[in-house]
Amino acid sequence: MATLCKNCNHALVFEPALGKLYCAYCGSQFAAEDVESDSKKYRENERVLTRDEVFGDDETYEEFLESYVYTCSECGGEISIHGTEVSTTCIYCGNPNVVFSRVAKEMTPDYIIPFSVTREQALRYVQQMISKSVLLPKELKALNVNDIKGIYLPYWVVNANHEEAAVVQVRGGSAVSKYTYHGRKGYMTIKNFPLDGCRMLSDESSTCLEPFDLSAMRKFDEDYLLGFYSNSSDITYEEMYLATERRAKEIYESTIKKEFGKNAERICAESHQTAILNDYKYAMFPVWFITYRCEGKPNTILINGQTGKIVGAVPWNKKAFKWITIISGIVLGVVLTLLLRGIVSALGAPETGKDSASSITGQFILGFGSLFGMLFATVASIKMAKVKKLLQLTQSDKMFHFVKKRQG
Amino acid sequence: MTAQDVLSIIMGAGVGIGIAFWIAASILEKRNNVGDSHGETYLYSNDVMVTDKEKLQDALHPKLKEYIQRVEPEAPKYPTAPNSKEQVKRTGQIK
Ligand SMILES: [Zn+2]
Ligand SMILES: [Zn+2]
Repeated sequence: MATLCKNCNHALVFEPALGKLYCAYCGSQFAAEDVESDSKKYRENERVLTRDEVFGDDETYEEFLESYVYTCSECGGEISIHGTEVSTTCIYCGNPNVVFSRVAKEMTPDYIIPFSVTREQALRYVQQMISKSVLLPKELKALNVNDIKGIYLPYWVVNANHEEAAVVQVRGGSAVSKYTYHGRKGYMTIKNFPLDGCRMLSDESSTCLEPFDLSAMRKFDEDYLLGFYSNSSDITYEEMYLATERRAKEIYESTIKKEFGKNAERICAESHQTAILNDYKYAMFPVWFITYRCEGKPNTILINGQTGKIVGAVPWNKKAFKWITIISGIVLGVVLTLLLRGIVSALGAPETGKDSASSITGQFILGFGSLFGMLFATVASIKMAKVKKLLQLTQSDKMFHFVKKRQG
Repeated sequence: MTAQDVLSIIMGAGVGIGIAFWIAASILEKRNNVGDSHGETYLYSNDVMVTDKEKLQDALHPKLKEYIQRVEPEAPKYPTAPNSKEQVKRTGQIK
């Protein structure tokens, strides 16, 4: 299942920097379409044993997904593969293995976007991301990456028709009520919408990996998988539909809201139809998964293996954040108060009595000040919620296991 | 210092913390949060055609309900509509 070098018979890997298959042993390079991979022949006729058939029903083996056992073509070692994986590395000899036979012809992708970001680049991007971050926890001062894996994720590239009648609630423009309502009925098409085919991976993280440049898609060839991990799709038609529908609605509604600019409040009613067309394609897109531990949790940063786009949040020192906010807030508040009082007394308010400068200042801060203060605090909370949500994805166990449950 | 002075300074500090929190959260969002966005709308669709516009009275007006009924929601349309709980297959493999 490994693909061997024509010159020296060692296992080849796909090298993103060259865009070719590369032999680390003798330095030869081959275009993916020029080598004949064993797995292409293999997948036609071989039956694969399940893990149960090889090892018996092992209670300690907690995997909920089915698992299969292959033999490494380089060293004869046993390779165990979970659920939807289609390529991996051998734990004994480290050589790449593609195990397409199980998924067989019917799940062979139509297209692939090969990795163009190298492992070293991916690592550097994460290092840069962390060094740009603020309030780093101590243990992150020196980054210690536990794990880096290049995984091809299955995607469905979908075209769809969408029709919708929606009512936009718009602020202002009416004497009797605060809002006006505008019906907008229309249609549109969705073209080349990439839809993640992995159930294990949340939609929130996979949509953040967008955009992929589909013009770089090539006809699928197993050899691009050599040296990387990969999965095949396991989503249902319903899940495919729901994801497409959600995005179609979002596109249509954000477009019609644009007409009303900042005054558009929300869509208050809608009805729609979404139809996925029959010409959807199956493709594999490259993603780097980089894991490091911090605060006792695994943090997994995702990098689009084609464009280098980074997705993830860097944890921060929460204590430091709290105290910096409080202390600088008090300093700022006192300075503002004194400044305001200075201005008021400079404007000639009497020094004593009810209308003294400090009293006016106090009233002003009580009134407008606390309102502004609360407004700022609200906006700040929304921003914090956003950062925390992405951090939660970065630190999610699901993501960690998605990467971890692989050999090598 | 009068009691009023103390009160205004305490209130001022509250306002200051609100502003400081906003500044700190903005910095965190900018520096520690990376790639929290998805593909732009125009990448997947640039042909939204609005065929019908109408101004409606208010949210409770029955016309609003009527309006959205101009598009009848239908059961999800799958490519060749196999069982919706079935795993997606390549088009060529649907029997
Ligand atoms: Zn060689
Ligand atoms: Zn091996």
